[in-house]
Amino acid sequence: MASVFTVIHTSCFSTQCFAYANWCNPVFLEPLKDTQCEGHLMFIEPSKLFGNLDELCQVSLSFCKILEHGLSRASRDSEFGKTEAIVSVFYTFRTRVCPAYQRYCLNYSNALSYMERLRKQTDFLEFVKWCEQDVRCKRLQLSDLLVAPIQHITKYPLLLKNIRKKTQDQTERGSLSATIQSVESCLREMEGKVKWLTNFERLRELQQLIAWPSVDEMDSKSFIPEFLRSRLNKQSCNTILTSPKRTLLHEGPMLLSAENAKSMETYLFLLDDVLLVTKMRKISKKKSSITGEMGMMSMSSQSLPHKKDGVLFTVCKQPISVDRMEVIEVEPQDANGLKHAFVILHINRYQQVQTVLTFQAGNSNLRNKWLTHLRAAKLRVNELARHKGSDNPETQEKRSSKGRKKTL
Amino acid sequence: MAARSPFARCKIVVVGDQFCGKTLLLNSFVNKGKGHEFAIFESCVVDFDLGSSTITLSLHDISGQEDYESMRNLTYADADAFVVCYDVSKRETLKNAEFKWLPEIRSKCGEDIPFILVGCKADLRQILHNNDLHKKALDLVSIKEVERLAARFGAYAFFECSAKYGRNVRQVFEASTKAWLDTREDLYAYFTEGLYC
Repeated sequence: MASVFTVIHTSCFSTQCFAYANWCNPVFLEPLKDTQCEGHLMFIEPSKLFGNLDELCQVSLSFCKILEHGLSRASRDSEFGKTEAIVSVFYTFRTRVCPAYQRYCLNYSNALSYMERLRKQTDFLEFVKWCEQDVRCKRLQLSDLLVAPIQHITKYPLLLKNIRKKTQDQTERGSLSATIQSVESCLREMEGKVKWLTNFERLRELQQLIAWPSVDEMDSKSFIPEFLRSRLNKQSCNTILTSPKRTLLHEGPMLLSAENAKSMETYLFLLDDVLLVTKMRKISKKKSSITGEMGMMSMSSQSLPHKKDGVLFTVCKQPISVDRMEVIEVEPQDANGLKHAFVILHINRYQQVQTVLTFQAGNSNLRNKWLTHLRAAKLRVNELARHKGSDNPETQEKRSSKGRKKTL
Repeated sequence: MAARSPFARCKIVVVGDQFCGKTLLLNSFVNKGKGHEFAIFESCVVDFDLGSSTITLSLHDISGQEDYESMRNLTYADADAFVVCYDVSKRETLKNAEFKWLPEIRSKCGEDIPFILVGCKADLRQILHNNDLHKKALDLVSIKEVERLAARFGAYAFFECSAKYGRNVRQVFEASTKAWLDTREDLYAYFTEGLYC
């Protein structure tokens, strides 16, 4: 019973795999290459859009073939051994299948933004529409098809788990479990890389969108000697965002309360070591027909502001180093008209309170999320400082003073 | 036919904890109850008859990606509506709907993204009660709890369904389509005429 299930289930799975791997070349790539041979659609770079989909298809096709082959041989030989066959085939998962998928995943977000750019060309839209009419697409759109491999690879553990459920033999179950663990560890590794990349790309995007006003703009009262003006015209801190070690923990809009009951809409970025308070500005966009409207719609849905939405952020308060920050929750009885508020104190190296920022969130959920992130960030920085401090207190001091110079 | 216009296409993503019944719900809807328990669901496109008109639904399942946040987030791009699932026999799956899935889809697709809450495996409710398994029955999610959660997060609707017996399955997808139409004033009048006849 179990072995029959295994065979049927696996072959179902690999049929889906085959069907998927077979659409890409004949449906999109070959027609594209043919058209390009005739000198049309030359602006499309197939490798940018499809990444290593070619390799991916080959790899997963051959993997499925070996899987089926192994299974059919095992079923010829004896009643048993099917689990063994599967387990032995999955040995190649880490070395062969996973790397190809990983490359694909890491290229995917680039491919997506490249497709967004291509969509502005009517020729491209027409070509894609024509390709999507192929029955092999099953009416899925190009974007659905491009994300499919990433959905697909995570189904391998499901296949194995289903087989394990139907297996009674303890040793077979054990070896299946080991295989599942190994496949899952591959996927976790892949997830880690995708996560890192997503974060890195968001930070790289933000670096272009965040402006650091010059010292003159921030404090117009101080006198700047003429010879220093050109040097102080620009801030050199705009590269701090793209340090590969920095991660963006949280971001979002927040109301900054001011004394005269006027509050300012700000947009906060919490990185693992620093909190940035910025003002978001929308650049007037040139109006275009349908794509313009679609752009507006995505803005109104309040998801994260992106470069394509035409936004800019100007740093409007001194960046607050997380280790010099104290977070105070405003309790309802002390609120005094403040809604969903919390206070951030910026305390300098000498324990002098430098700045008090009172923020109000849109609702209590948003506030709690911010509080959690801010406290977690602080905890982690303290933890790190303790570790480093025990190693070498000197460097820690130097590091923070260096950071201070940068931010001041 | 107007129903074939590119705008009348709705991308629905089904999310929720592992083993809470997402895949079976989708398979039961797409294959009209002819799916087996272990089938794997691949993204697919179906025509959905709303009475006077037809809407094209593109359906996506995140099964297998529950532990891989960044990878599953790639599926959320351009999603029009979500079906957030929990298992009526496991209270923690509703907790995760509240603290994991809803915050996630909102932060990725905006606070106003339409969604519906769906309690899967509703048939277990009857079984547990019939067999006097009081201890397990205590863990059942009550409709009241879900109602509160739905109101707090602004769910378009909430259902209990049983994919095994095909109960309420159609309604789940009808509601999620309507939830999406609700956000599209331009399409709403056109596509819902037939619904209230």
